[in-house]
Amino acid sequence: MREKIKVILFITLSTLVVGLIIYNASMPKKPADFSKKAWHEAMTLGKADAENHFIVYTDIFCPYCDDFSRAWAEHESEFKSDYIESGKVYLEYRLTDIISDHSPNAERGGEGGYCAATQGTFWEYYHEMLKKLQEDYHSKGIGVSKTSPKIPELDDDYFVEPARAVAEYATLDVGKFESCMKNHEALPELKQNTTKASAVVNGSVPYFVFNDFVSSGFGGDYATVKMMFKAGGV
Amino acid sequence: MERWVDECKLAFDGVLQVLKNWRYVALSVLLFLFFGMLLSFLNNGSTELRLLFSNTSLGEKASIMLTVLGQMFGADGMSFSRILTLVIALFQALAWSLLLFMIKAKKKNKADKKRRLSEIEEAGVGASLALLGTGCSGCGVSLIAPILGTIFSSSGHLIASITSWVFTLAALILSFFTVKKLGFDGYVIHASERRKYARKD
Repeated sequence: MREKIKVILFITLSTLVVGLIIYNASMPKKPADFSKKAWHEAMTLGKADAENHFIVYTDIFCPYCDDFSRAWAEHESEFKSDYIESGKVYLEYRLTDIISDHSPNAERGGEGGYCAATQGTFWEYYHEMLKKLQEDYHSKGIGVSKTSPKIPELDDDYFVEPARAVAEYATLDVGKFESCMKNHEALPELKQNTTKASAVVNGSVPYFVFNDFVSSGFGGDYATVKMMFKAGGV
Repeated sequence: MERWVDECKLAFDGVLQVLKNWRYVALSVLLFLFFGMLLSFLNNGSTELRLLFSNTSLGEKASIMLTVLGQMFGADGMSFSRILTLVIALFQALAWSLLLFMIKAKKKNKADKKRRLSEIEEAGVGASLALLGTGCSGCGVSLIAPILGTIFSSSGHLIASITSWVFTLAALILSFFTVKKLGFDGYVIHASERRKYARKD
């Protein structure tokens, strides 16, 4: 009886694994109703009529999403010159709070992104926030993987500090930003976009739609970003 | 408990005896790298794997493999998840090497064939559980997350996070017991061979 159970378990699990590998390999496909229209103009780089519209579904508190963003931000001038200013790529970030089940800060992080976007300073705020998270937590091994210690629930001031940093070199009204955060003005748009994103990414972020190169997860560096763009046809 | 500890010590001795043959060391190293890299690739989601099979050049493919190999050994920081991956890969490598040793060493009678088949099934179940447990379910990147997301909608990735831990733990325990059993068998084989030669002398 035990032998029969072992055989059944072996066959079932092997079939499940092979099936899942095949399913996953064929899974990330561009959805049939994939929209070329940007969800939020302020969360884009480049010209809307560029040759290629590359989309990144992201969450500020997703560590691998942050790794991808940091990878190209550290080579920003080269990245912009090669892909954005050359008119080859229209890069769009679709910000969500898709990992709010795992992170108590995902929602507030998303709201911060959208509040900054309403004032046209999404990218400045996003990179300041990533810099802050890297200094305070990621560089110390906190919030970097499923087994690492989690980032604790952060107070509202943590999300306003990057806005203050941005205000020193860009046009961002900190009072207006604080009011947006306090009154949850950006929350409906964040939630609506998260729902739309969930139908595409199935809980996986970062999720990349670079023409026919569709994938999820990131564990590399700027060289990997370049390979992804190349695989996307650029 | 004492008997179990003794069995573990003998199993460890058995593993060392098998690994005195350089062929099994080489096989174990290759299998360790294979399992470790497979688990690491799956842990990172689908991007690196898809890049490997895309229009990247040979040099770029080699660079991806080297990056993943480096990550396996904590080149970009060691974590508990990476340590688990290494341990499971090691147990799997030893299990399959020991299995091959058993198949070659034992007489090919019906009882032994049945036992070998059972051990292959156990090692296979351990490997399958390890693969099912891989991934960062916390960010929704795991082998099992998409299908659970389809079934359970928005709570799918949370369920995947819990189930991937269960699978990983099960893989670790099963792989350990497989190595212990096979290592003990290896010890018995070597002990009986030593007695055989001692009698001849």
